[in-house]
Amino acid sequence: MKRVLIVDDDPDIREIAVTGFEIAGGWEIREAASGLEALELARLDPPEVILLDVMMPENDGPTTALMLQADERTRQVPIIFLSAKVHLAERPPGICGFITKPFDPLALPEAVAEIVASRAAEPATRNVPIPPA
Amino acid sequence: MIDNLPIRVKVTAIVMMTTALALVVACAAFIAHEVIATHNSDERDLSILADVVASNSSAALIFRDAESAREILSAVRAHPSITRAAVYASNGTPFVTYGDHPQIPLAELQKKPVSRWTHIETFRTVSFRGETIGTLHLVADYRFLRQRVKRDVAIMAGILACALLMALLVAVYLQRVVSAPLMRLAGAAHQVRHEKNYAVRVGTGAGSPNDRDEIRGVLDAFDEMLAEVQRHQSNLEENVALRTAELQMILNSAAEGIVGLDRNGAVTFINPSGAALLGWRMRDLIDRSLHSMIHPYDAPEHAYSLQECPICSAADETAPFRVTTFRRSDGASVPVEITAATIEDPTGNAAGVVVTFRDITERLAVERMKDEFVSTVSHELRTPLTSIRGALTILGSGAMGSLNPKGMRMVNIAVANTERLTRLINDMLDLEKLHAAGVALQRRPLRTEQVLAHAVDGVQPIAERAGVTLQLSAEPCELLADYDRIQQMLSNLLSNAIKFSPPDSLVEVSGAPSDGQYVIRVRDYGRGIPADKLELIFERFQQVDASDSRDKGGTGLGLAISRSIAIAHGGTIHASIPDGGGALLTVALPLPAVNEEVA
Repeated sequence: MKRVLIVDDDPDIREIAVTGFEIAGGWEIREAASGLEALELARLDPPEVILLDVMMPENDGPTTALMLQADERTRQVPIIFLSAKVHLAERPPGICGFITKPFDPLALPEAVAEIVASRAAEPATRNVPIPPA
Repeated sequence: MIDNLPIRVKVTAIVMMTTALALVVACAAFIAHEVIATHNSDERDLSILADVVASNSSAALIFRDAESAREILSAVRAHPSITRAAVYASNGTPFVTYGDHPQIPLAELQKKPVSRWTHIETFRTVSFRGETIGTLHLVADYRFLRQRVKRDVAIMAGILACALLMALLVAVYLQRVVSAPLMRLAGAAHQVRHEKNYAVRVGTGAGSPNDRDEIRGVLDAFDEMLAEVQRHQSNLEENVALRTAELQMILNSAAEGIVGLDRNGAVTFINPSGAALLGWRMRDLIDRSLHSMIHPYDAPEHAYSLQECPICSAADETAPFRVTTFRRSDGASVPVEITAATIEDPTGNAAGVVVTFRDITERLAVERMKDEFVSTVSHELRTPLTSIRGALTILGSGAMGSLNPKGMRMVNIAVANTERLTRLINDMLDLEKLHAAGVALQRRPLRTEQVLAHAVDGVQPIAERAGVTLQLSAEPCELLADYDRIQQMLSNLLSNAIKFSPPDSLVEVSGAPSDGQYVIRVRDYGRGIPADKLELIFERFQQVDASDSRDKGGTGLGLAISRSIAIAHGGTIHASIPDGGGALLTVALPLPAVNEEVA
């Protein structure tokens, strides 16, 4: 069972993503509505991967990512950005992947798994955009 | 030399010379007359004396009374001018003599006449009762005449001197009749020439053009000329002031900053708006080097060298618009858009530069706001779309329980339309980004054969599904362009071509350099584009047929985006109807210039 933490301020998107993982099966799913909540949950029980929305109020994606990487309990957790922005101005280090919205919830778990697997093989930054087919 | 003498002297000299000449001639004539008269008178006297002596001597000669004869002869001493005399006997020998008369026979004497210039001589026959018995010879000199002449000449000289003196005095006094007005004229002319004083006047103003005194006429004409010059001058000054005021008004009213530079980059003029924008007073900027004032060397992010300075280099080329940064007097930076143009002097050489500039702080802010708006919209629209599509996808997968066919159909319609919406949003945002970004593309060296092959490969699946064969022939070439955008444009054109091609048809793609450009052609054999819509199709949301949007899934923005991309690269795109039917889309992209550098 792989643990995934889904962070997005929009509850509907969270629900869609969660449902996608549920359908795929084999995942233990957690959700957070804000960067701070994500940090708290991640510290408590570090997941295998964090899906992080970029545009959030208060602490946005990059800020949250920095916070997560600053904490040694959460430093090693791979982070995948979820964003409507096709190009991010700055790509913070340690971001393993990039998934654009809108995404296909059915294909999401597989893409995430692929990123996690490849990161285990070589810890480099990869951009794996899911085509919004 | 005479010409160089002042008028006064000339006139006086002329008068004097004339007077002197007249007087001298008169005196000479008088003296000549005197001489002649005296001479004649003397001659007459001598003749009478000779007659008297001759007749008196006849008795003495007959009787050979030498003593009496000598006495009679010596009576001539009453005439002191007689120097010698003699009575000759009939045989020619001198009987008696007087003075230093030589004792020589008459015949010999007659062979030696006296000089008529110094002496006067006369011969008289002495006769008795009609018979010649002898000859009288008298010689006189001109001593009286000479004295007379000397005296006359002296008197004449005296008179002449007095007369000349008086003439001189009168001439000196009267010459001013002529010279005074001329001197006035000369003086005035000198003033005009050296002091440029056109207010002087010389005439009386009372003369008419027909005045027979030419000098007066000249003076009045001179005055009139000066008056004319003054009028002309003040006219000119008025005109210049007017024009300058007009120009100044224009410069002052212009909202843009206008600055003129000379060949060395020093400010020759600047208008109030310009000075205000830069934070200086107008006069503080005149004659200062603009570059050093506003493009300082010490601000690292804006330091241009003089050669790189876009303003200074405008002398060689006219750049339509350039965005750069000026520094205000307080050190703040102002983003400006400048247009620089060369000022040419009449010979065609660069005499300076005129730069117009405007503060684009606001415009940049607006553009920034627009960019932010675009991202915000992008995010705000996509977020709910994500949820909609996600939910529909899950529903459609049957994971939440299967739907009956009608239900599935409904879901599919919903999914298809969310996809359409997504594409529309993407395209619109794309277009907006292209328009806003303008030339801020990533121009890198790009191999045309690569990008064309890539685009063709990308649409291959669609082509296969539509039963269309893609044929590519591209001449390899290198361009400076944004790879992603060019590929986007090509994919667009190709998918259009495939969309409108009937099954089993061909879509021909070619690329070749031609005349400074790289020309890409995409040709299909579909139903083509009507001639009146060849330009229309490039506008937003325009499709050849309204039904196309629904059937073919297009957004109507594809060609608009393609055109934006082409234009952003400095190229062109247009549609045409080729021979043999179908449609031909032609893209022309500029080939890089020989020394163009990668941005």
